[in-house]
Amino acid sequence: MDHRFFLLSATALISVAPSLHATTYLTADQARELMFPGRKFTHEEVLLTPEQVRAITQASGIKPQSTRLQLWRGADGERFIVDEVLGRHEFITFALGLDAAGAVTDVEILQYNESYGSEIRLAAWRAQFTGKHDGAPLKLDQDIQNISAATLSCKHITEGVKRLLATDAIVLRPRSA
Amino acid sequence: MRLYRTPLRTGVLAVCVAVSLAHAPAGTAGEAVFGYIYTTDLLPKGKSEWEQWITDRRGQAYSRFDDFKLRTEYEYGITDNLQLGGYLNYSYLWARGNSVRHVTEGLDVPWNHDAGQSYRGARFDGVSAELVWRVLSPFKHPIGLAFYLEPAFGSRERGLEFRTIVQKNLLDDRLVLAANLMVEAEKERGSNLVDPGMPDDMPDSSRHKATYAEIDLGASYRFASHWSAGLELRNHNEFDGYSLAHSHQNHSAFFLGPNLHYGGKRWFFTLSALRQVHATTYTRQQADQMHSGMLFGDEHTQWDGLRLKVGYSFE
Repeated sequence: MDHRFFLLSATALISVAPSLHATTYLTADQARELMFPGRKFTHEEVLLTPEQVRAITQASGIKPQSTRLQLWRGADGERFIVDEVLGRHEFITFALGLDAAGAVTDVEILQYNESYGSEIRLAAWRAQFTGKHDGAPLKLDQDIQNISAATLSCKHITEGVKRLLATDAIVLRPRSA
Repeated sequence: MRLYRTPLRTGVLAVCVAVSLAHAPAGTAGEAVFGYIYTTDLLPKGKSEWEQWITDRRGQAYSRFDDFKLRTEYEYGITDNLQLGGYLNYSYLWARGNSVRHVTEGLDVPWNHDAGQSYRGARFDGVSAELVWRVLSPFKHPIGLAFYLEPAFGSRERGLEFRTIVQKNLLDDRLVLAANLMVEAEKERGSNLVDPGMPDDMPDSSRHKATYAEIDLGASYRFASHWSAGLELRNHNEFDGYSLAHSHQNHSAFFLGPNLHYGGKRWFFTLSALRQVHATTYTRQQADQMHSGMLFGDEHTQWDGLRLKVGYSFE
């Protein structure tokens, strides 16, 4: 076996590695309709400034993955946000619903394609976020119970919600007011 | 392939490109992001995984030496923090004039083989089991901590390996740092190696007691969805008898190299290539097995080794 075998193997692996498509459980529209049935929303793409990224990171302890944020605003001040967090291999797409005061109304998992950990889609686990607001601890095994076979996903979704609550308080709510 | 937005991305890509251009070989209990180093990732309760390892311990002092070690493994999560595994170990050796004496002898060559002839042969080495107990998870605690036990039984080698595994995750769990402290007590049948200082001594088939101690360090960075790359460093030490006293120490050798990992929903692949970069010997017999700054004989190879792991997770 030649050393080039390993280079060739690596190249072959990169070339032929299956292009996996994440399982889509809900589209953004479906999730929004589930959270806010029959309500009218307006979509906007929010671009975070470097100062806002710094402020969010400082407030939540988690740096935003992207400076672009997909936001829908409801007529009565509700907000619906779609964002991503890292899973074990791929990004997990999730949606966060907030009432006019900035409290969590619901969390939905839109896309998930990991071998293990899809238990985070269970309603009982997601319900732990309901009523949480910016400043809540949002820490595994403190105010959010972990699912032991899905620790990484639980941790990253929890951190994602915490980061979006800080984003809402710093960027979105002041604009609503 | 979706690359992550991070300052480290450019650096990792540069390393990968440099590795590819140089035609150097590029390259988890649970899904292995490292070739040699264990992490605290375990299978969830009730889940199982199949793994196949192919390791080429390649190159000694001269000519040809390829010692292919193959391992077929089945792992099962007893609880979320306790994992059991079973291995079948087998090998294929192709050696010709490999030793410092430029004859076919040493590492894994049967004790009764004529050193003047090349050797090609396959054999079943034995079975082993592993039990991994995770005490701390790197996702919930400042560090991950696990303990690993591996008894092995075969016609040529019988041993018990104990490993302490420490893991630290950084950068949103994309950067995995891992350290292993390994101690293994073993009874091993000798090869046909002849001590150059005592050429009239004949090799024998008896089993010798030995203790191995290793400190392994690794870093693996997930630079894109599914893909990780990193570096591994092994420091391997061997002692006569069941002892870790320096007075019993035969040698200390260092191995360094890159790894590349792909993890999908069910399948994963890991490639690693560790090169012997330094060796220190503590006996005259071991010193006689040094060549070009590397230790060979019954101990090591230039590439120790080139490893491919393939794994499949069952539902």
